[in-house]
Amino acid sequence: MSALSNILCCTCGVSIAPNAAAQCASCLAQQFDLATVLNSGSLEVCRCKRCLRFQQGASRDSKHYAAMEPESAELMSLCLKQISAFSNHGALPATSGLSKVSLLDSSWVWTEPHSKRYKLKLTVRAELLTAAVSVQQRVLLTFVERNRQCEDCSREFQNQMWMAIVQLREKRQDEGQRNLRRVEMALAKSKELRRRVVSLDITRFGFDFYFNTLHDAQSFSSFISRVSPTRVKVTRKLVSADSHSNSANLKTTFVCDVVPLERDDLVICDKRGSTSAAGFLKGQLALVSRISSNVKMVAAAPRRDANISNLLCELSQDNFWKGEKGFTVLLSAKQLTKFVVMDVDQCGASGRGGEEDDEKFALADVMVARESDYGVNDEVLMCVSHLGRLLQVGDVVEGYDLTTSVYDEESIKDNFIASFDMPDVVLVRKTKSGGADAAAETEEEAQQSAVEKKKSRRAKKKAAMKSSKENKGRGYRGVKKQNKFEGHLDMMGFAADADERRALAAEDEEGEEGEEDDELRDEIEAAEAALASEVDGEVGEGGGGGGEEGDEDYKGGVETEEATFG
Amino acid sequence: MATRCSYENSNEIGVFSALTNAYALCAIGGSENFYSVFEAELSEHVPVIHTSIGGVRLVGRLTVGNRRGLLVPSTTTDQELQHLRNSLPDAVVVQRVEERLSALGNVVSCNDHVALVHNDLDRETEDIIADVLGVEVFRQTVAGNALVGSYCKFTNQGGMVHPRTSVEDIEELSSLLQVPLVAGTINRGSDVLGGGLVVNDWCAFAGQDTTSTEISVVESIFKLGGTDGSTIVNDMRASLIDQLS
Repeated sequence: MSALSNILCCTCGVSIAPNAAAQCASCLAQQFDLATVLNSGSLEVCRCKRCLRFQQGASRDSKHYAAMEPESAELMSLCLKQISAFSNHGALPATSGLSKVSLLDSSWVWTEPHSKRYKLKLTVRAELLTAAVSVQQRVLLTFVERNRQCEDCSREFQNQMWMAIVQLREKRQDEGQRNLRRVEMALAKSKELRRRVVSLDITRFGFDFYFNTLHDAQSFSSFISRVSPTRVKVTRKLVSADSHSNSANLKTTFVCDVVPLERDDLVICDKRGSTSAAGFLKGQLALVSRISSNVKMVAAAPRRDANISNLLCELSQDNFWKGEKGFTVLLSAKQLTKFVVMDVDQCGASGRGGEEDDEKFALADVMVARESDYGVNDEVLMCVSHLGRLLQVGDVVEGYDLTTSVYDEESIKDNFIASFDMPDVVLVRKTKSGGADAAAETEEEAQQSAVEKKKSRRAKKKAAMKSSKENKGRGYRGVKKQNKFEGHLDMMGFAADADERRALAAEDEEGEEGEEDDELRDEIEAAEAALASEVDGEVGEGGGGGGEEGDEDYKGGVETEEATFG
Repeated sequence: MATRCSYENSNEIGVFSALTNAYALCAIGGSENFYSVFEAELSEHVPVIHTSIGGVRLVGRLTVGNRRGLLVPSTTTDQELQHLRNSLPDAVVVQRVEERLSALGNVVSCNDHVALVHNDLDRETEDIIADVLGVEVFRQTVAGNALVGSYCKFTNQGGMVHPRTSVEDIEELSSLLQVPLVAGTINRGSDVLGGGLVVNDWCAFAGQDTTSTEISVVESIFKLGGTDGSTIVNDMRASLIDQLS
């Protein structure tokens, strides 16, 4: 097509190539100022002052708040939503003389964070109502950050922050309460668990955990019951009810009673207790061998000719609470003393040891001497122990010394069956192996070995120094992690004093408790995984209830906007 | 001299009025404001006639004429025809045209010597135009538009065409019409020149929205500016000298 003749811009008279509006670019820009059009209404974003999250959605009543980085894409989309022209499918008021506005580009302009202002540089294009001409302009918009308390924070201030409480209790007179510590460790390790706990109180025999939602509390209590044998009772309290909408506001309490038995406890199983609970151990003395989701016990004073499978008992939390009165803790791990094994005599046929308890254990006549007596006097004690397979002469074992322990012998006599004999000593576990030939050492050999021991001690020292260096080499992160961990414990008020805590940490790190702890750890991990998957599922479902709808609304908004901008 | 006015809040005054060197037609409106503007400017020189065409107010778009004649569409009633004949000077011939394209103002654009017409106009109508108006008739388009009456406006002095007309087209039209032409707009960028502008050799009326730039373009191309004698005398003297030499 041949060249068009120039015309004069109808407003300023400058010679231009003809266009539909018959106006030059500068006149159009002057006439249709998109900045004022886009600035109409209030350009504000709302932010919770306390949790620093931004209110999402264009509506002022939106209950959704989300954390956003300054100058992030999310914040930009939030800001763009505040522009009424964009939120209204690009339609502009008819008075502006422009029809549809579309966004071509948008970028941040830096602002001082404390100014509470956000600046966006937009490139927008709008079409004239009268002629087929589009006007493209660059516009700088300023958004003001307003304070608006989010629902979570306001609930916290209004003291309505929790809707459910988990009361974790281990009703045990002595200070042990290792089951609680186990929950504590799980909490210290799992960020996911901690995140849901809104607040925490320390009470007698345990803790109160507060939760925002019933679901959180439920999953927490089920987590506890997977880690330790626990009885869960649920009670509800009506806060308010709306008879019109048939809805009610309830506060729910989960009472989690942890079975107050711990590993290595020496328990009296009352002969008057229920058979289903104690099994073959009824009316006898039992040793708690393991705690997981239920309690495993082994006879503490077995008869020499007993079948090993008759010495074991697995106690579920149901059964425990049914026959709760039938179990009395006689001695607990704090009262353990050390013995040296003088002689071991297997009672029955000894097969290969396996993983299962009845394969692991074997009965043996064991002669022990107190470690404190060792080399002082010749006092020895005899017992029948389930540790027959593990013990060798010279081993150091831990056990309960019932000859010196203080308890009311007369009052507990009624609890036992007639055939039961109170043992002198109950061996609990091996701590150090002394080797089979240790006892057979001659004096010379002893001297020699003393030299060797010195050597080995030196070697150990070296190794220890080396390892400490290595520890240093492991660096700041490890220390930091440790500090953080302690910080959490402090915060939660779990560990009463630092020593105990350190001991706890050490215990945890070294895995001193051996294979049993490994299993327990696996179990805890499995429980945590289950919990995590539950959380994922919940997120996937979209939060449920009102939240779901809101989310969808928000998504819808984004989609339409993409369509508009694209 | 160009004047801005509007017909009942409409800027398209070319729809409601027609202006030639011999007469002016005005639609009958609710108020006499529109008529008064024409009357004030023209009453000394030419008659300004109130009329309707077939009962419709769109006199500017339905009729076409110059100083020799006036063509009206077939829808015109006998009464209106009689009224026009009575009101117009005796020298002006009024003729009814049986034409399918009845909006004659849209399909014909003319001055006292030349007419541009729509491509599809009847041969008979073309003949009538030539006879009654005493003009040479050319079938033309302006910037690809067949509605030449809407998109161009010219007098014996000069003319304006659609803003998107190419340079070649302007030159061709200019040589046909023997007047200078310019591409321009009226009513703040409107390209419907026939609708926004009525003009004769000494006077022009434009819609109320017309900007001063557009007014100045109109005045300069239709040579409406220097009406103070001296320019005319200078022009005449130049042409006389040209003829005599």
